[in-house]
Amino acid sequence: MTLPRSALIAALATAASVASAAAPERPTITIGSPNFQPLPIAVAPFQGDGDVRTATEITDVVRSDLALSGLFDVLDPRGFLADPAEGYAAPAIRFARWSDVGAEGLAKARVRAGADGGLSAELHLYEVRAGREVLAKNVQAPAGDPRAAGHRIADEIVRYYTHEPGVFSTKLVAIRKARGQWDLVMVDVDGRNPRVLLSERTILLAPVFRPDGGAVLVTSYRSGRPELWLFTLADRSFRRLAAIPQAMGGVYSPDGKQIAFTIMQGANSDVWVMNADGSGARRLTREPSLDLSPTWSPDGKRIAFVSDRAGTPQIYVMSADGSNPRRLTFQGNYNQTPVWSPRGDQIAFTARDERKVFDVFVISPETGRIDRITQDQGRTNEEPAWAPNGRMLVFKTDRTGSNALVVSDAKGNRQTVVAAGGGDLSAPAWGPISE
Amino acid sequence: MAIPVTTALGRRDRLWPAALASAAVHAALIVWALLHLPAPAIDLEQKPIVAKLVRLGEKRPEQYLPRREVAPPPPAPAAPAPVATPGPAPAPAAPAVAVAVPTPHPKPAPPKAAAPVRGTGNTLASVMSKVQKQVKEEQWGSPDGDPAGDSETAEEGDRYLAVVKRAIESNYQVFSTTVSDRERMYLKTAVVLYIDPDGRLSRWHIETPSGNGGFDAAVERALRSTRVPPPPDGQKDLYRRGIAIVFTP
Repeated sequence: MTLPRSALIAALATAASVASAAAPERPTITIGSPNFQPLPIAVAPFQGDGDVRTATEITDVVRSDLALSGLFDVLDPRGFLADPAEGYAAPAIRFARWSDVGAEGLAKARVRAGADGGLSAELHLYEVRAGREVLAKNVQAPAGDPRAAGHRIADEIVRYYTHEPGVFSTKLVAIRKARGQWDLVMVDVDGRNPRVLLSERTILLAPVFRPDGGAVLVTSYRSGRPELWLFTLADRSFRRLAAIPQAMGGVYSPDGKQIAFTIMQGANSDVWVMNADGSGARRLTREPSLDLSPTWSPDGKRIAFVSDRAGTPQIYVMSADGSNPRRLTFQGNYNQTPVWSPRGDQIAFTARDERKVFDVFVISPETGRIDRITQDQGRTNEEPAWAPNGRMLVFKTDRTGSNALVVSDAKGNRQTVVAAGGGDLSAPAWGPISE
Repeated sequence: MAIPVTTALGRRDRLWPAALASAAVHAALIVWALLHLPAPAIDLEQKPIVAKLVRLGEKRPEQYLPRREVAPPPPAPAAPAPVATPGPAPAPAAPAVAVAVPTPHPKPAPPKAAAPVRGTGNTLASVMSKVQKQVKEEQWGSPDGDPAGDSETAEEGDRYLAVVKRAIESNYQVFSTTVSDRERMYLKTAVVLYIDPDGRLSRWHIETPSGNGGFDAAVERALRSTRVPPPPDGQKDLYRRGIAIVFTP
């Protein structure tokens, strides 16, 4: 029997069509803990060799930092059942007493003067249920700075649990406006230890750390117009970085070699980029619209920015050379102040919602999915900045009645007002981790 | 002597059935292989679909920015309630706080001091004011949503995934002795689960083990104990090919 050749072709064509249809995307879901559950941890009062006050202060700082991170449920020491005189080494610890209060982690430490006159803290971290020590670490801090010791201890605890460095030893800067004066202020992550770096009678805006943490780039009106100036922390010098009039909102590339910034020209503004020394300025956007507020991706290959080229301020992403701009936000009609997470997976920004309230949001640059960080917490939450580990945010809020700073975990589940009073605080920036 | 044409034609005629049979066998093998080829390895860092059950209600306008999902309010306090309107199933106040609702809506006057040591730092008054505000919140949803739904939005295909997720979660138990405190913060197991058209979890395999055998065993126990309804018509092939599930403690 002779079979037609067309049957062979039909068989092969059928196989090809089935093959092309047999490769759908596989959906992915999570099961277990879609909302992270904080780890209950007890921080026992640290023991001091003769200096109880210092040990107490360090204990308080550790408790505060761990709670601030959102990773831990720091147990109230008033509920502790263990003997306060219990030692800090394993054989002396009655783990059942700590288990009774729900602790899964237990931090103990002994504080004493170091050989060089500084502070030395011997940290011991335990898994309560297993009844065993999991971390023993010596932490050093300058003399007379117990808070630094507390922050470093908290960093070690976070590092143990998350495999990532903690950020409690880093610094925040912000602009404080009071009594007709603009101050560049630096505070610890918990808002303590404020110090004025720079005090001006003219406007200061948009401070950002240089990636090495040695300087702060800021927009200054000292010359009567916005320009980019650099404050160096080591010698407290303040000098104009580039004689580019109307330049503002400078941000360093992750490698510190370039600065993206905005130039305002009448009703138009554009995103520019220049070398970190202020040379070689070149224009990236050329639309007859407001293009401003650049932020770099952590790999330095893309820049997100705000543009009203579609009619309302929206977030866009383009290549670092200004090519291939594409719109990222399609919800809300007033989106601004984008900042790219060091993890690369989120861009935080400020948006005005349908009730005319300003809140902090995050958007995935890959999927465009938007999640909300703040809600019903004052009428204005804005100007977010990421912690260097991408796990926390700082932003400005009016929830206290005046402009203050809030530190939050990356999902907005744990928010703490860390700095308030003394004037209106705004434009926070988070410094790098110094190893 | 030249070969007769009829003889040549007869030889070609015998080859066709063999060629066709061979092509058919090859086609069948290709189709079988493509249907059973493993998909690309699961990216544990990929943002997964959050399977949610959308509630019955009006659809929130698409151009609006999203709102945070908040826990359903607890039942109204007993004595002075004028008209008894049954609310949703009561959620105790403690778990509502444990879900980590953000710090409360402010009154204009006093600055709120930071209270970082314990829990969220909410006072009872601020919690109550938040609850009252939640009761008044518009509950967006979808006209074809589920009366038991608790989500404002759901992506296409979420409903069945939400059902699968709930069924597995009801059998999912990780004993505290299995996973250390530290591992809780980063442990993950990725599983590919195949669901037959009749809802049977026909097979699964651990694509990426967690490194903790006890935890992986707990995951497999949950899957062995789970039964789900059949996938919706039009999606049976999708689920027969498998869904990826990332388990965390």
